[in-house]
Amino acid sequence: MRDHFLSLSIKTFINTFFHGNLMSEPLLTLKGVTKSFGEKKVLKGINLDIFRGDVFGIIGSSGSGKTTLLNTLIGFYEPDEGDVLIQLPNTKGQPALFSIFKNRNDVMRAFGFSAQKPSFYMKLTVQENMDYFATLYNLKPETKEKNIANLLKLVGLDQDAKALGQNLSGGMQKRLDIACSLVHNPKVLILDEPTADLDPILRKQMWDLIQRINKSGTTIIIASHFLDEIELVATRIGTMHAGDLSYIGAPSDLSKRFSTVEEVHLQTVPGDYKSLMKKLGTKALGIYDVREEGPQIIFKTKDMKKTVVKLLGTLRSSKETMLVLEVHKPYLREIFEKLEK
Amino acid sequence: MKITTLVKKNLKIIMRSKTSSLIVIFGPLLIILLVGLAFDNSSLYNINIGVYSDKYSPLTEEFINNLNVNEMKTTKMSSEDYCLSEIKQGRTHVCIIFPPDMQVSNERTNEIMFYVDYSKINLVYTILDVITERVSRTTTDVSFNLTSVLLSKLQETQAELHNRKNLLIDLTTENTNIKSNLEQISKDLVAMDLKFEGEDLDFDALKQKTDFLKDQGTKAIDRALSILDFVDEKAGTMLISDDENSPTLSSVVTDVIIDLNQIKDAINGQYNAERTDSVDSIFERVQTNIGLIQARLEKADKDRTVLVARIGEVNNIVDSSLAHILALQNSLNKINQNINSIQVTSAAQIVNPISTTIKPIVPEKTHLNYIFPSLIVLIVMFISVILSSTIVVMEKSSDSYFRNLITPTPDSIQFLAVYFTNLIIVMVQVFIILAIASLFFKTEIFHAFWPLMLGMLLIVTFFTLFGILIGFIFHSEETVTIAGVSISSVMLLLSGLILPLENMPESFVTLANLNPFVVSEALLKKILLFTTGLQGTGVEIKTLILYSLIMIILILVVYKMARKNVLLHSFKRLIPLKDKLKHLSFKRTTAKVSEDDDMVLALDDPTTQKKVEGDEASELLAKAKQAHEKKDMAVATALYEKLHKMYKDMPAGEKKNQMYKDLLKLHQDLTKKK
Repeated sequence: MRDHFLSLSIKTFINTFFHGNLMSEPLLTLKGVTKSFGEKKVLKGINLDIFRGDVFGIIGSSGSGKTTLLNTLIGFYEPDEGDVLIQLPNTKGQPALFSIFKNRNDVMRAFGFSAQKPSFYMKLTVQENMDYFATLYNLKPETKEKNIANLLKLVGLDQDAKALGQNLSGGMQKRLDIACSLVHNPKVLILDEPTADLDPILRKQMWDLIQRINKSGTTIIIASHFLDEIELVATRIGTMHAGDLSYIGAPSDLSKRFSTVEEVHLQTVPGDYKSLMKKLGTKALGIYDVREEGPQIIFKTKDMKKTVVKLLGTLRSSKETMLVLEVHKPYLREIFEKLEK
Repeated sequence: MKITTLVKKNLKIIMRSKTSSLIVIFGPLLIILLVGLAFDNSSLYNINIGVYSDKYSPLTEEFINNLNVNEMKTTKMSSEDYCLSEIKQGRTHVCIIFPPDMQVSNERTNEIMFYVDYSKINLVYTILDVITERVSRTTTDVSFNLTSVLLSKLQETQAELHNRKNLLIDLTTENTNIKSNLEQISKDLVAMDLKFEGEDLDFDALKQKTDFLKDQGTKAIDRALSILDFVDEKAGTMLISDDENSPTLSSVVTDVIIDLNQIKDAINGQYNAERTDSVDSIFERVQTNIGLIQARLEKADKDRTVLVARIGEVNNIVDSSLAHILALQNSLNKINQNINSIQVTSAAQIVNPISTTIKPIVPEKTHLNYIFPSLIVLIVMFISVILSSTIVVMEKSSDSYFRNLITPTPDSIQFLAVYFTNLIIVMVQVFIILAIASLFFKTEIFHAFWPLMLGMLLIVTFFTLFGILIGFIFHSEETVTIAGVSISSVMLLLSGLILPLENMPESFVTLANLNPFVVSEALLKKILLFTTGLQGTGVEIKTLILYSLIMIILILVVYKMARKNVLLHSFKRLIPLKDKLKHLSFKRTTAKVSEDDDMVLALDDPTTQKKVEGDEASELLAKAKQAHEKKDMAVATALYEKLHKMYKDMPAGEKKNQMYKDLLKLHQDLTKKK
């Protein structure tokens, strides 16, 4: 599992780096977006650029204004002040910024949305669902046919086109939902909890799919409570706090900025961690927290290299056989907790 | 007690759902309030009676006045046809046609015709009862008056006869007296000798003699006259002639005298001859007889005096009788006049002076035919309202609805789609009902097929729109069902189908007449029963169109108002933020992990460690493997899901790691197999 996330992390890093070159013009721009409900100011002058090809993760605590931000992003809420602009081709075919509140139909065509729960008709087949939503987006028959065929292949449901929605497994339903969101070839795909309720294997498949979609040029705004996963996939992350977008940046930057502590996870056989600790001498290595979690022992250290080298040496001189040695940067949630504090 | 806990939980959930509790409490309250206010009485209100007669007589007016009391209101119509059309329009309940110049007499048969609408099945008999009772009350009055007249005349006759009873006794006595007097007079007259013995008088012989004398006298006179003529002639000749030899006048006269004497002698001789032979004897006998007669007459004269006196008595009695008879005659005349003054003497007319006939305004039909329009509206109302509201709320509460809303699809298209979906379903049901009714119950449909279709379209449209409105107002299937049933029930109860509208106070009737059910029912009745086609249905059609437009406006308003809520509702449902944010504010030391939490969190959080029996997991895993080997994929998948859940609950450790590996393998197997 951890290996999987490491590999994802590398992929994401490459992806981020690659996409970084494309992030020249913002696709979506929030300009001083303010929204109040009664006397309560829920959004306080939010400024945000989301670039073409971005995988933007939004996290925030309860009541931070995250929901309102998402609603405003897709045009459900009109802000009291400010505007949300989207880059769309103008009448001459040149890219131009349009307010999403004045171009509802174009905006709807520019966005795709997939929520945690599948939002398609369970009593319709995969093909029928796709066809139905494609029709609602006024796609031409030939475009519709082509898009559906491509998407079914992309999400791996081309063999199940005639299966009823209710007969699909959880993962398949999720993939169909995403396919429905993409049927009109939107510029921005908003994914909310795309891997919720999925088992680890399906989650992996889902993240792979999301990356494939992103690679195909779709900008993705993603929210997930799998903070560790979002950290691996997102090119940038925004944290909402009390109506403010308090931090926007790459996950790695976030980690660097908010934490110098890293975790070393070790699993050995027979696992006599008490003797190992005695030999290791934690204070000298900058280790300030050690805890056992199941078969593993986890060290929190401010000097990862020193700790790993010392640990490997100690293991060689001990009777312990190493099974797992992983180095983790601080999880996003830990950073988030710090931000909250 | 678990059951009380469960009940409490259910009640709390219901009461905390605002719309559910609102409809659960106010639905029945609304029904009982409206129905209670509407029908809390036992009498009928506002029965409109149309009356018509070619010529209104006082008796007709009396009937009308008797009808025009309390809850009944009569209106004189301009014609019989108009009167009937007013029933078809639902403005009057009964049309009463009186015979022209209605009077009770021997020669006339008075028949009052009642035209009623049998399709108002629950009202028609009540109204007929009331009106027939009123009419028969008036008829009884008329009959009573007739009998009273008859009886009074009889009483007058009886009194007159009683008064004249003594008169008759007097007459009897007088007649007895007259009779005895007359008998006496008769006896006296019989006893009176007035015999005349004429045979002895030989008047024939006397006549012959007299005639003979007459002839002789005549002859003598003729002779004398001829002599006188001769004298005259001679005298003339003498005067003219100068002949000395001509006789002188004196000689002539002398000759005449001689002749006349001869005649005289001849007559005397004749008379004497006759007298001696018979005339004397005759005169003697006559004299004798006259003497007898004189005697008799003298006696008779005496008797006559007696008789005159007696006859005078009789005369007096007769005068008296005559006076009595005149009095009797007067009485009889009076009685006769009295009896003649009775206009109605026919027993049938007296007993039943006015007959009534009840006729339906349409040809006789079965009860099903009469109730069919109401039945159709009832079915359409419930189906349309409940189906459309349920479809709307199902769509609204569907996870897929959110995706519909974020597509560039105008609200009007979404709204029309719901409308047409319902329209198709309900119209199919209507077709089936109509077909069954036509085939099996011989309900006449095809005579007005297209008007019926138009009417059905309007009715279905309104109730569908109404259902859509309910669907947009409320949020759950049970709530819209209760709301739909409650409101439909109110419409049904205030429609006159169960209890007549005429049971309601006037203010309620005005409202009830605006009831879409009533309007729809009236429209179908006109089309199906009264076969008026679309003529005369203008009001209903316009009303339904107006109602539908109002519904559309309301739907749009409610939809616009609720759209954001619906979006947010869908959005929130699709994004369980609370769950998500709970993790975002995760505290390692205090947080608890629910069943919905994912595996990663469970692994990381030592406080969430829960003890799961490893044996049970191993057992389930073994069973899952067995099921997989037996190719029972459904069981294997179900066991996999259960194991996955258990895995999430397992405390971190070797067992969990092993479990992960096992699960991974099982999943791969299952996926491969699929």
